[in-house]
Order: sequence, then C-alpha cells, then structure tokens
Amino acid sequence: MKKILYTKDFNEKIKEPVNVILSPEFYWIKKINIPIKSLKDAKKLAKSSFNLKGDFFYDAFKLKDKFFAVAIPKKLNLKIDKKYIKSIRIAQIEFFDFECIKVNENYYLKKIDDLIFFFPTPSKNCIPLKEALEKIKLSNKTFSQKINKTLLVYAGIIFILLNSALLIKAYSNNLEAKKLSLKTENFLKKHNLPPTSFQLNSILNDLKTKVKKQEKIKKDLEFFSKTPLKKEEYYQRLSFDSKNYYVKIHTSKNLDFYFKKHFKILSSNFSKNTYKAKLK
Amino acid sequence: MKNILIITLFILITVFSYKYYLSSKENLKESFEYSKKMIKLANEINSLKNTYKPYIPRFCKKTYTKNTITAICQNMDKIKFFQFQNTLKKSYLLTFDIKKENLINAKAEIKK
Repeated sequence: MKKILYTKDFNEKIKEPVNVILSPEFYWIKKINIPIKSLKDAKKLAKSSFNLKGDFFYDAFKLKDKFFAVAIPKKLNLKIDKKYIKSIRIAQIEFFDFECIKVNENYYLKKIDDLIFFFPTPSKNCIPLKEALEKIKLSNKTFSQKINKTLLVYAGIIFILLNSALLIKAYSNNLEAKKLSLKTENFLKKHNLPPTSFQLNSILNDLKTKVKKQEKIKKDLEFFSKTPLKKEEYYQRLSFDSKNYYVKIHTSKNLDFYFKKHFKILSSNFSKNTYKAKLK
Repeated sequence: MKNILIITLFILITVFSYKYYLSSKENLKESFEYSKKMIKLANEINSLKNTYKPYIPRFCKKTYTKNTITAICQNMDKIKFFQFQNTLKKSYLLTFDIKKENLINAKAEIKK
C-alpha cells in the first residue's frame, strides 16, 4: 500500500488507499525528560506536557528508550477522501532513524535532539523523501483509530444516557402499572366485589334486571293508587306474591276495563259489589 | 470495521430499549384503561345496590331472616298507612299483602 508524507502543501489527488504520515506541522511533540519507568506513566503525563488551546488528542510513545508526548488536533481536515485513508502515523516515529530527509526543493525534515522538525533550510546528507518512504517499515503506532475513538466515546456516552433514560422510564411505567393494578384490586376488595370484569359485568346485569323489576312494581303500585273509585268504594285487599297481583275491591262496577290498560288479567270476577282479579 | 460493529450494536440495543419502553408505555395505558373500567363498573354496582334501602316504620313488627326482612304492620289508620306506603316506595319489595277491614293490616317481605 502506498505511503505518503502529508505536508501543508500536499496537493496530490489520492484515488487509492494510502497510509498517511503526518509531517511535524500537524502535531506538537515533546521529549519527556522526567525520569519515568513505564509508557503508562508517560501517557498520564502527555496532556500536562502541553499548554494548548483547542481540541487535541494527547498520547505518548517510546522510541529507543526515550519517551515522547504528542498532541494531535482532533480535526485534521486532510485533503484526502476518508475512505482512502487506511492509517495515520506521525513523521517522528516513522522517520526517527533518519537524520535528514529532503521533502522537496524548499523543505527538509531534520532531527534535532531526537525531535524531527520541518525546516526550509537545506542541509547536507539528506536523503530524498521517495527513498526514505521506500526504506521505512511502518510502525504499529497509528493515530487514526484513536482520533475516531473520541467520536465513539461521545456516541457511547449518548448511547448510555439514552438507553438509561429509556430503561428507567420503562421500569417506572411497569411499576406504575403494577401500582394501578394493586390499587384497583384493593378498591374491589374493599367493596366486596370480584376481581374480574366478567364477574362484575354479570353482577351489574343482574342488578340492572332487579332494579328494572322493582321500578315496574313501583309503577304498578302507582297505577293501583289511581284506580277510579268513588268515595264509598275501596280496596279490601291488594297482594303481590313476587309474580302476580291479587286485588279485591269493594265497588259497584267491573274494573276489568281499567286494569287491562296496564296488566294482563289472568282471572277476574265481579259479584255482589265486589271485584276480584288476578293480574300479571 | 470494529467501530461499525460497535455502532451497530449501540443501535440494536437502543432499538431494543425503545421497543421495551414502548411496550411498557402500552402496558401502562392498558392498565389505566382496565382500572378505569373496573372502577366504573364497581361504582355503578354500588350505586345500583343503594337504589333501594329497607325502610320499615317503627310501629311495624320486624322479623329478620338471612336475606329478607318481614314487616307486619297492623291496625293502621290513614296516617300510619301513609308511612307504610314509604316502605312500598323505598324498599326492595319481594311480596306484600294489604288488607282493609276497619283498619288496615299489611305484611311485606323486603330485601335486606
């Protein structure tokens, strides 16, 4: 795969996958002079080694028993289509073995005190960039994944927050539903009612029928109270056996004409000023 | 590639969480509707149960059985009979028998 040194003047049109090596213009580097034992400690120190404003990604690495801290901007804005960038590395690591590299007629990469810088001034014994790129074997230290990782961390935080909110809300909904169900159950228990809607409907229908029947009895009684009787005429008996009415009235006329307006006359008799009837 | 897999996993878990949230919301809605319906039915039953209440005048003799009260009201004049009529109007009537000779005698079986 093609290797390229990416400088600020880079204007090549890339249409194939490439391994990008950033020139020193794109990152800040420092040699860690404090005596530290492990790379882990160097990584901890990386951020505090710089005093930079802006969004940077900080890291540390070890080259020939020396520790270096690096700060790379999170937004590099490379003029290469992202799909062609297979990896991003830095010149400090990849060209560490070279003392001087001639990038073009105007610029040189030079190592001074173990740090590689970008210089406009020429110097002796510089090898051409093309030759240096051919000679180097790319290191394992890439930065592209780590820069992408910050995005992934943000996505992860959003993911955790969103999912936590959804799960907490779902849990609270389930809890609320359980509370509601318990409340209903207690309400029904308090009123000595069964727990299912089927049983409740059955009770309700039964009650409705009974109330309707009672309403009919009250209307029947009202009808009896309006019987057209003269002053000396009166009810001798009025009874109800839960199905039929029995009436005995002291009267001078047959009252069939009146009762048949409201009841079904099962039997009736009128004799000696007495009217008797069985009504339904 | 690894990142794409992680993001796909994030999305899948979020979809699952959202579906779980929607189902819990639906469950809550159903519980609410069910509770509302049950309480409405219970209130309707209670209201119907209280439509008729036993009313028996003091001068009547009362006999209680498991579900019924038998009221025997004897020798009623017009005023007492007027009170007895309230029994007929307000109580849940099972049977009754009213006889008039000189005064009025009545017997009524009403539901407790």
